[in-house]
Amino acid sequence: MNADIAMYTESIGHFPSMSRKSPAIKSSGLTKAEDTVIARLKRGDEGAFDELVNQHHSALVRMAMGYVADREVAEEVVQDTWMAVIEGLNRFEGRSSLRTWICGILIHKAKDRGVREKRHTTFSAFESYEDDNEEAVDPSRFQQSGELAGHWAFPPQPWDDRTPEKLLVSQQAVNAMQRAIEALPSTLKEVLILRDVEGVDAKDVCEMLKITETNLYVRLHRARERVRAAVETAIG
Amino acid sequence: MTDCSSQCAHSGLTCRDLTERVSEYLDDNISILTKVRIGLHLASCTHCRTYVQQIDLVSSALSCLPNLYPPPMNRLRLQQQFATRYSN
Repeated sequence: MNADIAMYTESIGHFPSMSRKSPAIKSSGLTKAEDTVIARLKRGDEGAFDELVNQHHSALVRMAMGYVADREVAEEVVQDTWMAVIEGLNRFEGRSSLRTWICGILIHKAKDRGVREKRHTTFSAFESYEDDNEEAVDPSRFQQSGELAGHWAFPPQPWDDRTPEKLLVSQQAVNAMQRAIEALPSTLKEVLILRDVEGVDAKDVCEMLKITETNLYVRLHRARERVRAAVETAIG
Repeated sequence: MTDCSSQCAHSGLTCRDLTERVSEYLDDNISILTKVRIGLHLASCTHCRTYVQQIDLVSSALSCLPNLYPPPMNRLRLQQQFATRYSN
C-alpha cells in the first residue's frame, strides 16, 4: 500500500501534519446507523461489507472518472480504495462519517493515479476550472441592453409534468445527464458527485475538498447548470 | 421574451443575477434578505420559476442515477481480502 495512504487519517481527510492546523474535527461524526455498520464490519460481517460496496461504489467510480481517462482505470482506482478501506478499517475512529473517510481515500488515490499517468494533460474532460467568475448560464440567453437588460431573452421552456422519476424513465435524459457528468472538469464533477449523487452534507464536502462554501456553491451550480442544459438539449 | 413585470425589478435582482444563486437558494444556504428578494422575483417571473424547478429536478434526479457495481472478479477479490483480514 502507498505509504502516504497508510498515513491518511480519517479525522478530516487530511494528512497528520495538516490536520493540526484545522480545529474542525468533529467529536463524533457518526450516526447510530453508521456505528452499527462499523461494528458489523469490524466483526468481519461479509454481508455488511457487500452492502457498503453496493452503497458507495457508483459514486466512487463516477468521482474517479474526474481524474483518470476511462472507466477501466477508474475501477482500478476504486478497487485500490476498497482495499485501503479494508486495511484501515480497524484504525477508523469515527471522527468523520464513514462515507467522508472513504471518499477522502478515493480522491487521494485518484489524484495520485491521474498525475502518475499524466492523463490530466491529455484528457479533454480534465480541463482546469479556475474561473469561478464565469457565469453559470450562457450570458447570451439574457437581454443585453435596454430596460430589461439581465432578464431572459431565451428562457428555459418548461419540461411538462416532470418529476425525477419521470425524468429518469427517459433514456435520452439519463444518457444526456451521464454524458454531461462525464464531460465535467474534475473540480466541478467532484462537488456534483459528492453533494447530489452521494448526498454528502455541504459542510462535509467543503471539508473533504478543502474549499470554502462560496467556492462550493459556485462550482456546484455550474455543474448542475451544465447537466440541466444537457437535458434541455436532449428533451427540450 | 421575458414576462417580468415591474415587481421583478422591485426585488432588485435580474433573472441573470438570480440564476447565479439558485443552488444556494435550494440548499437554503442564503441570507434571509437574499431569500426574500429571490422569493419576490420568483413570484412574478415564470421563466425563473421554470429554471429553479429544472435545477431542482436535475439535482434530485442525480441521486437516483443507475447504480454501478464492481466487476465480478474485483468483488470476489475484495470479499476474499475482507474475509482474510477480519476472520476470527
